Amino acid sequence: MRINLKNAVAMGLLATVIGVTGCSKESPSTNNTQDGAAQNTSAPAAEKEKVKVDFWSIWDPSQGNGKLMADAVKKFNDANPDIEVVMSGQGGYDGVAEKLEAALVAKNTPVIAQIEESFLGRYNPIAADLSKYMSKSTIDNYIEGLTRSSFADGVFKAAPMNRSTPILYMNADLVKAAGLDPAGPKTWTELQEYAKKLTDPTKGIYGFSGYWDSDAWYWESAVYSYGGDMVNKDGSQVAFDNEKGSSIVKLFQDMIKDKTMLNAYSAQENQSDLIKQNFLDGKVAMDFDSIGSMGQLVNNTKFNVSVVYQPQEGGKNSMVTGGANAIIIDKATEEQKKAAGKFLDFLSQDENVVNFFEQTGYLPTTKSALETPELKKWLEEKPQFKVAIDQLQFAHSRPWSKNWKAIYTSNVEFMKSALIDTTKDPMQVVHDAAVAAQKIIDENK
Amino acid sequence: MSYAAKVLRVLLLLTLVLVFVFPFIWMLSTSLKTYLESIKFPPDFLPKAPQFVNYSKTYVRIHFFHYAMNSVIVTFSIVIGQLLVCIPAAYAFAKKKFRFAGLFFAIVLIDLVLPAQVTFVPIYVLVSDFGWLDTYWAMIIPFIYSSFAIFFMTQAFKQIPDELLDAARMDKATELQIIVQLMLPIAKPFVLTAMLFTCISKWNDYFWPLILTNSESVRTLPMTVKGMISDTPGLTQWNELMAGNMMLIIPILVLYIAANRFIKNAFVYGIK
Repeated sequence: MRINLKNAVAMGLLATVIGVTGCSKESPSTNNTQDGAAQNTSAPAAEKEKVKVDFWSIWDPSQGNGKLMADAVKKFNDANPDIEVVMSGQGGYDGVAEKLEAALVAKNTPVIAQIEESFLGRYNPIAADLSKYMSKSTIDNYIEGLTRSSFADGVFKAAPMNRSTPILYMNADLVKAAGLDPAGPKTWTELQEYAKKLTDPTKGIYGFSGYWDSDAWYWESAVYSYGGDMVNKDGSQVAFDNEKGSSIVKLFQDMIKDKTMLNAYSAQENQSDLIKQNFLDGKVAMDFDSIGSMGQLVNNTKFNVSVVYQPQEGGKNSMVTGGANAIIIDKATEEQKKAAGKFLDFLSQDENVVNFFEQTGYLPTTKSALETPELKKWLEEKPQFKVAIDQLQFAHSRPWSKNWKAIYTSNVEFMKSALIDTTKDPMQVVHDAAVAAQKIIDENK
Repeated sequence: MSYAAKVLRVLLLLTLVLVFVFPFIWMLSTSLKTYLESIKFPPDFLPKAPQFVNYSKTYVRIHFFHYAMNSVIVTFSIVIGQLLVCIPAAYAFAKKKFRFAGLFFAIVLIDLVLPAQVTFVPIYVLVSDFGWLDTYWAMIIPFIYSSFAIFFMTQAFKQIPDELLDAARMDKATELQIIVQLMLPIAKPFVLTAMLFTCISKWNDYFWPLILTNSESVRTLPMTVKGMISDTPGLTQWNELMAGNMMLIIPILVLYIAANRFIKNAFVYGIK
């Protein structure tokens, strides 16, 4: 028994030594690089220290879009020797959201967070008033349609970053061959007529295709275009349990049944790629998709691609935008918030906006960028992008509800089920989705 | 067994193998396709001309060496740490009588069924208070304890007859000698199996490194491979992504094949 105790203590000591040596070896550098942000207030300024601004991005800074952002961060840091923005990728929209939740509990938040547009409903209480830290000219310069989801109680809290919007792509050659008006369908009813005329079973051509993606974004957009809404003004009541919510579901079901729409849910889980591939092959004449796919659809086809506004039915156009905005966390020090504001101002300079748009295909975010000779020339050569930008005048704000993420995840399952089994009553599907969504709202008040 | 039964059995086994191996072959085949081939529907099973260049492109794109080294450091440290912590613990549970032993073992068992999501906020807060966020320590220290390893090895140690231990004590062996020279050689398949499971799960772990770290300097391989899924719908380069996945799993696959015999022994024969 005595030996046992001795050994247990020895093992315990060993474990502690491992832990403690680890701790002492690494912590000083950690405090300098990462915790410095949180502890800035207590650090006496013996010599002028750099203001550290932690920036949590949805992208990995070493690849693709993230690399572009990282380049911009480097440029900013070089130009501002007293500030150091530290960008880190947090695993996409959901990753940033999950980490923010944990960081809030641990009181260890970043200064800037790049969050999905609709998440402001949730993070609004911790987001700073950007008008205090960014210049007025920058805020006024944002294209208006992109800032509809940026305000909470009239306060500007989210700066547009990478943004997109749904749009209708058309195979202009097929439209011309069918003798249809190249201006495209204005309403969903017209879209159905177009699709009928464009469909050619002998050549395996479908007139139209579309899908609900991971967050039912396209369905949401279509509901607005029918004059409907997702939730009421304060986000406490679901507002789509009606014909405006179900019309697009019925339309898609009808078009699948009369074989004028390619049903992406009949095959596999990769709807977006499946539809795009068929569009590229000339087997789908019209594709309801994100502007994010523009580069791929316009550059990889052997035919002419035209782009028209998302159809509507309620008498006026209305669609969602998507993507992410930047918020500044209010808990950061005044110094950090000012530095963060300066960084967001920097990202909105024409040069950066134009570069980011040309490299990624995400919408340009500012009005002045549209006036630059570079962008004007680009839009002249690729007028399809101009249609997407013009469409922003009809942008609708994202639904304002604290738990919208949980709701849209639930919604998409119901909407998918209606396209997998097209005999389901669309009113019933939307009603069931609404009940589930209302439950989420009620349980999380 | 009749000839027909034999043929049937082989056919059945082959079908089962196909079911499990197919996703792997699919990944391999996609990793060698061109982008357009990778999104084609209906898909072709094999690429027209294998694009080995996908691998070299991906190697550069995901900074493979840097992240793989981090993965090796983290995985290796956790495995060593678990050996140091879990073997003595398992030995105590299996062979020693002490107060509240049953209670402690029950706590270990309860921890076994708790999902990571339940413990994620407390661990995050703890690690944050220690100032370990964004260091290797955050990814190593909380995981050198493993309830699975303790439970699994306790069961193995229990099978070793007490008489052997008594004999060793008669020869004046210390407790450490008993563990290292007696218990471990006998329970080798179990210990190796537990370590291999740890290796696989920590090598593939995405959730904890994401939560506990911020910067690229300490992050591990699954994080950079996940980063290849673009946030713009439909622009993911599936062929390169699959090449990344192949590069991610190859080390672990090699390890598994090498240690396959021990795992089978541990589950089929037990302690001989």
